[in-house]
Amino acid sequence: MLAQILSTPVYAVDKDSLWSRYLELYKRTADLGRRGINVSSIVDELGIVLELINNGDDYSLKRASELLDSIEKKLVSLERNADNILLMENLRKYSIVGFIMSIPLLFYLLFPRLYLAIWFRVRRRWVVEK
Amino acid sequence: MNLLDDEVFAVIMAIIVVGSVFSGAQLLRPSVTEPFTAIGLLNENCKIGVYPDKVFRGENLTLCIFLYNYMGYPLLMQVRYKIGSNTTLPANSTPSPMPTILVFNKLLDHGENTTFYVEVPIKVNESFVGKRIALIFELWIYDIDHGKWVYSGRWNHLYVEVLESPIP
Repeated sequence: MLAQILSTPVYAVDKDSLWSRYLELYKRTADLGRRGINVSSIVDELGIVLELINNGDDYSLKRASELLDSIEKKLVSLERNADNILLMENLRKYSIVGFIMSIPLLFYLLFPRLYLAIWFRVRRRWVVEK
Repeated sequence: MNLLDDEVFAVIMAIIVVGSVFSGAQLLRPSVTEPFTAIGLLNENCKIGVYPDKVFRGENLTLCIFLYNYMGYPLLMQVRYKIGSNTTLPANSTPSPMPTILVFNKLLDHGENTTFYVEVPIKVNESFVGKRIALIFELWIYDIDHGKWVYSGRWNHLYVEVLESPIP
């Protein structure tokens, strides 16, 4: 009797509902990915959950359910900050592009002065003979 | 050579202008211009070639599947295993009409690939003994806009001749 009670799982996770929840979280992850947000860590965890669901035993399904809870928390946080993340990412990208595009102008203005400065510095100990 | 000479300086400027425009364009262009997915069928050693050409009825055949995602976002992929013939092969737009025997789900991030072993049962009745069948592997992807699996138009198949299983 005791052995039977001990061997009974504390609770069983329904595989179908777990799969529906998995698909919903995957959809939200893919949406973020399509918007250009880095979701690779969440994808790694969803990959682990997929393997656990494929295993199908009670322990794996329970572990998958726990992992999905943790993934959902991360997703909520990412979704809340998505606009800021995208804004910062765009700022970074366009700043780099702006800097690259300004290189010709900077070169045009600074290179002759720099070149001459170096030219004089290299020759500053030279003695001019009459 | 005087770098401040007008002609030399003009050449250097031209190189720098072209280089900076090219670099800027590389950063601004979309990261994925031609999205695609890929599926590959490999032998039991996960290599191309030397595929089995004869199988026993009822045996489990070990093969290897390769998947690649270059869609620009994480992709939930499903490989559906079917058994058919040369008249029931999938096409670019329609899957094989034969029933699905096994499915294998994989989640791949953009740019990722995976290679995994599959054990596929040769589930055919006696009438197929001595005949050639096609082991079909179709790639389906989960459409996040419509919330359902859709056929990607990509598949692999392997023709094998069915032998009667040996008496144990």
